[in-house]
Amino acid sequence: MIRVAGLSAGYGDRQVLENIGFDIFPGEILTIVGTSGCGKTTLLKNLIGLAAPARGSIRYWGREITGLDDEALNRLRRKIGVSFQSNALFNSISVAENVALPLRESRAVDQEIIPVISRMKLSLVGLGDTAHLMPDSLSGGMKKRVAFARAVALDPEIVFFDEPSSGLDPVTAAGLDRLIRRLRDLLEITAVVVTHDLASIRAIADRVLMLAEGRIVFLGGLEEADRSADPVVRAFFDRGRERK
Amino acid sequence: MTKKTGIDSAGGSEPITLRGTLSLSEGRELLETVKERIRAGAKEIQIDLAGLDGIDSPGAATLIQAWRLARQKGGRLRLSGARGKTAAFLELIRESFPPPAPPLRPSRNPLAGLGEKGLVALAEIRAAGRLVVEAVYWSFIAPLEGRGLRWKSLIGEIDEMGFKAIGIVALINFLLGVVVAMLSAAQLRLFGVQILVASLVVIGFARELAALMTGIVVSARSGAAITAELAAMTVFEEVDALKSMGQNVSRFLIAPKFLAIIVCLPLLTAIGFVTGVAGGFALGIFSLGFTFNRWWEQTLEAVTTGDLLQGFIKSLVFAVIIVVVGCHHGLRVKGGPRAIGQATTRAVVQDIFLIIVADLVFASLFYFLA
Ligand SMILES: Nc1ncnc2c1ncn2[C@@H]1O[C@H](COP(=O)(O)OP(=O)(O)OP(=O)(O)O)[C@@H](O)[C@H]1O
Ligand SMILES: [Mg+2]
Repeated sequence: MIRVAGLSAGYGDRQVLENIGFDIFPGEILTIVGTSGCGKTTLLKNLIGLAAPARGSIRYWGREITGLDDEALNRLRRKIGVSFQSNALFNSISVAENVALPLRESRAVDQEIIPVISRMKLSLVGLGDTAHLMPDSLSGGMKKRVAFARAVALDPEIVFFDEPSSGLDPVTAAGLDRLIRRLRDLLEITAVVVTHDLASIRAIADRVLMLAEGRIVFLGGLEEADRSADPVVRAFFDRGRERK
Repeated sequence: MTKKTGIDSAGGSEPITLRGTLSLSEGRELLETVKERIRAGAKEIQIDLAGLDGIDSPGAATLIQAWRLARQKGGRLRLSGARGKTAAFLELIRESFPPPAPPLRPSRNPLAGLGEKGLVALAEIRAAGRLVVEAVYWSFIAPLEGRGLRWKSLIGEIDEMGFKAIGIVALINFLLGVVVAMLSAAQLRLFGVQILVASLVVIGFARELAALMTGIVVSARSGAAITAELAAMTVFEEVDALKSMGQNVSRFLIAPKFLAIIVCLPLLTAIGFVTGVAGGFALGIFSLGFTFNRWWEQTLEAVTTGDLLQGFIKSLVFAVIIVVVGCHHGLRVKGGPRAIGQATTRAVVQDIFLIIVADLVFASLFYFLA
């Protein structure tokens, strides 16, 4: 579905990612893990065309997206949902309007059912009765969930989540994990989830991509990760096991 | 295999059967059918979803619309036979079938609102009063008791509020001086006493115009900046962080600004006074044809120490207004980034209003006492 090859990216002179290559398969949940600052958000921004890579290629359904103009990128982005690390909710409009925004922009559905869809997505994340509130008045975890609802507003084919469960209590985080799985199962969404949360990874990941020092140090299933002898991988996956 | 909504004939109580996928276009058709049935007086509408093997959000939204429509007209809409993924999806969104409850708003009686506003205003005045006391304590008394002033930030603030404002303050007062001189020259020409323009300009600027113009310029520059900075610090929890580290907010944030503006505004006003009078000079010499000495004599003759003192006192009061209003609005901001802009606007408007009111109080004091 997405094929990344030879991708190098960074900010100005500062190279963050070096020669990255991997595939994302339809219907899978791929988690991207790695220590803070290793470039997960950078990878995500390159994947959705918000940043142009220095080198390399990114193909969606066989089509190269690096170097596309804005209009072509926007057409592609209609099939993509993104929930940003900082939520990126608009504080000047209500929660319901935030979720409705992509629907209004895309003009894909009738005006009168936009509020219905918006509320439907909010109830998906368990926030059906906060529609009229302003984002300012929500807790951190609730904002995360609104961002989540907005990301799936357009029934995207692939959704990128940048740390969906950071700052959430384990119960809510588990609820979101279940939701990601359910959306994948029901709507056949492909999900790319950046996360630090080991419990979350064990709950949802079909495959794990691990970044360190700008390179992929591991890519594979969970069992494979548990068997891996690489010290970097071990350091991540063995956390919490030392205390028997 | 049909991929369309199957709709049975007009038979009133027969179920509507759906086949294939329910998406936006099928949903529209479904909605029309349901509306038709309701118009025909049907109270009980069945939708059979057994033939459905896929549904997307717009499709589901039309189902919800239809369900609500039936309810609204006093009827019922039953969904039956959903299988597999469709059933699971509908289960997931079940909560959103009923229309959202209207947001709770306490009922309001306008008179109660008035009383409430009065209380709020009172509380604001009290809070502002406390702010003045705290600021005075941390600016003047605490340093005397040997508890440190934050010199570095004081100097930074003086640079920001004072030095950087000199240019604009001088320019605006100079231009105003020219304008006032032109206005009065046109009138005084009728009586042949254009030399009195010099008196008018110097008295006007000493008592009134320099302090007022400078106050307004500084409130727009520094008053707004104070509010924006403190509001941002409040919103992004920096103020809370300070408090949690045991720092005194008044000492840390307010005292340097308070001192800085109390030093700067009178000095800026003095600069404004000089440049305003210079504006009058420019007109008198270059347009009205007086000599420098003649204009200078007239100016010196007209102005008294009392006039200068009046301007000085005003500028001190304006300084206190600007810093207190600025800090007050900055620190009591609630909500997210948007609140920062709102607080800033409110602070500047209130600054200018209070400056004019204070000016009026002064003017009447001097008018009726003198
Ligand atoms: N706008 C930017 N300009 C310059 N450098 C940046 C910028 N954004 C991020 N970086 C740098 O790129 C590197 C990777 O940042 P990135 O945000 O991708 O990390 P991350 O893996 O998402 O970390 P975290 O888990 O903390 O979110 C960091 O070292 C950071 O300093
Ligand atoms: Mg990140």
